[in-house]
Amino acid sequence: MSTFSTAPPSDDVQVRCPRLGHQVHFGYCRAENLGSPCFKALDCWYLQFDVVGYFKQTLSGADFAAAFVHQGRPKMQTLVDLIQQAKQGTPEEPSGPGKGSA
Amino acid sequence: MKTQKFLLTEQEMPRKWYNIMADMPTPMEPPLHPGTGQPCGPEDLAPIFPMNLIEQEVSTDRWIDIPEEILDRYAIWRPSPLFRARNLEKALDTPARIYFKNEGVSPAGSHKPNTALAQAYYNKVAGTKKITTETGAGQWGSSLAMCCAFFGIECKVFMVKISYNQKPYRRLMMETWGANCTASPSTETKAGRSILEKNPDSPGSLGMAISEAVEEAVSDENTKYALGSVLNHVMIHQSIIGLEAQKQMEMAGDYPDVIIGSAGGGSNFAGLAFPFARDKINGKEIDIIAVEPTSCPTMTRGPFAYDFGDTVQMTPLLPMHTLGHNFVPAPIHAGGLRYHGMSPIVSQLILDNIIRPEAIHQLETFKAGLTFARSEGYISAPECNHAVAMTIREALKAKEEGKEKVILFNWSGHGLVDMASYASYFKGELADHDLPQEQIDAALKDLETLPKPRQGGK
Repeated sequence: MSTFSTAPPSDDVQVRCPRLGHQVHFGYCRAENLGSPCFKALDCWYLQFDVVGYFKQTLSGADFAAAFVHQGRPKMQTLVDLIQQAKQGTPEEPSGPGKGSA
Repeated sequence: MKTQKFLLTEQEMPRKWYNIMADMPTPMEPPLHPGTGQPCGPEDLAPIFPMNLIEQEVSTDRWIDIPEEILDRYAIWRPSPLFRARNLEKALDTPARIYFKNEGVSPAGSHKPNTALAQAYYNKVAGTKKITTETGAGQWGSSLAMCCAFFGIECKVFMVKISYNQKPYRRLMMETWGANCTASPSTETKAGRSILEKNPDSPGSLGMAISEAVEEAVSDENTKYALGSVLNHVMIHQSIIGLEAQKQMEMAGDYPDVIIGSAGGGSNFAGLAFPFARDKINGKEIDIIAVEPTSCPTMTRGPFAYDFGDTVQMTPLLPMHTLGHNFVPAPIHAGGLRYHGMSPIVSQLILDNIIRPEAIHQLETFKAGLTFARSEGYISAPECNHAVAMTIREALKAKEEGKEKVILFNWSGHGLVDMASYASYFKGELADHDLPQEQIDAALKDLETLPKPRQGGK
């Protein structure tokens, strides 16, 4: 079992991204969503360091909520939402788990 | 010489897919529209899927005819061989008889074309001129690209830019099959342009790519969208794996005591397991195991609840097997295995005691992958190694118990385009993690106040 760190890793430390299916750097995870962290960043880094504390420290409360609120969205709802956004011509920054195919 | 491969002819290929919705011990509750709270209807999905696929999505017919045009193309790689893994048995010195269904023989190298082909065909019949999709590393994108080429349909794949740059071989596979593979975000959609305005150097994300793919489908009546996992019509198409395996096991003179598949979105697991699950529902004694990473236990520790998708509870409401929206799982290094919510059908079958979930640490999965490669020769995709590892566990348990157990697992794809993950393993860069129980308990508390769907029974 690996040891837990309180400090964040450097940006070039890699994990395999479960969504993309290949290695990515921590620098990608913490800024994947237009500079905001990937909504899965807490999942993927939680036991490597205090990722929750890190993002609570580096993000405002609103930004933290915005980055991580969409966990658990099922595929069907995501698709219906995206269809409606596309129809209205108002694309929003997408996020949500299980979306997309590796 | 003893038989190692059990081969069906093209004429023996199943002529119908199996739809487990007809046999669910507990009927599935429909997904609800996030805006209205009402069940999603065909009209909600019609902008992106052709009606013939939407009909399959909601169908409760047990058997669905496979059109001849699909069978003709399936015949390029199907029926896929069933192998008796005699060399693995020998390496493990087990009395168990191990079989695996080799889905890595498809031209794209995995089970994904089983549904890509069907989706391309049904789109062709419906008059679709172009299909869009998104992809990360490219396993799904390459499968769809190939199948669109078969039916003369234009294929547009939005590949996440970081993947586009890091995974050139899958991209080249897509282009070889004639697809337009575009790095996402792109300037070709409003969604992409909006993102690039804010960050011209954006490396992209899967969320951005799916937005672009859906937007392009919605914007043109001749364009539709395709998805490679989770949805029911995908599971239906994948059932050909298990239906073939049933015939091949009969050829081998065996019937499985244990069925094993890795479960992320659920499609490769479901493909092998659901036809056998039907047997179990009808009284057969089979242990059907869905394997997931210990570091992200969506099935093995989660309750079945209406999962509110965000902390302000604005995006309900599909019954999912989940750890809740505040659950924070640990690292995992096997692609394709980490949807936060498992397929609703798989979740329900767990509740109904048809499927048994198990979790395995990643180092054990890579170790198993090496054992398999060094005995049977095939190099597994990382997610596939979860099934291999579970098989080895069961085979060693049979040895301990002195039982001649029959084990069948789905070898869902090769890892030849994903050797970087093996490199990480060899370099000692991967680590195992276990989630502290107190964290799970805290997450589960969040779910206590939420409405619950039926938990088994009618």
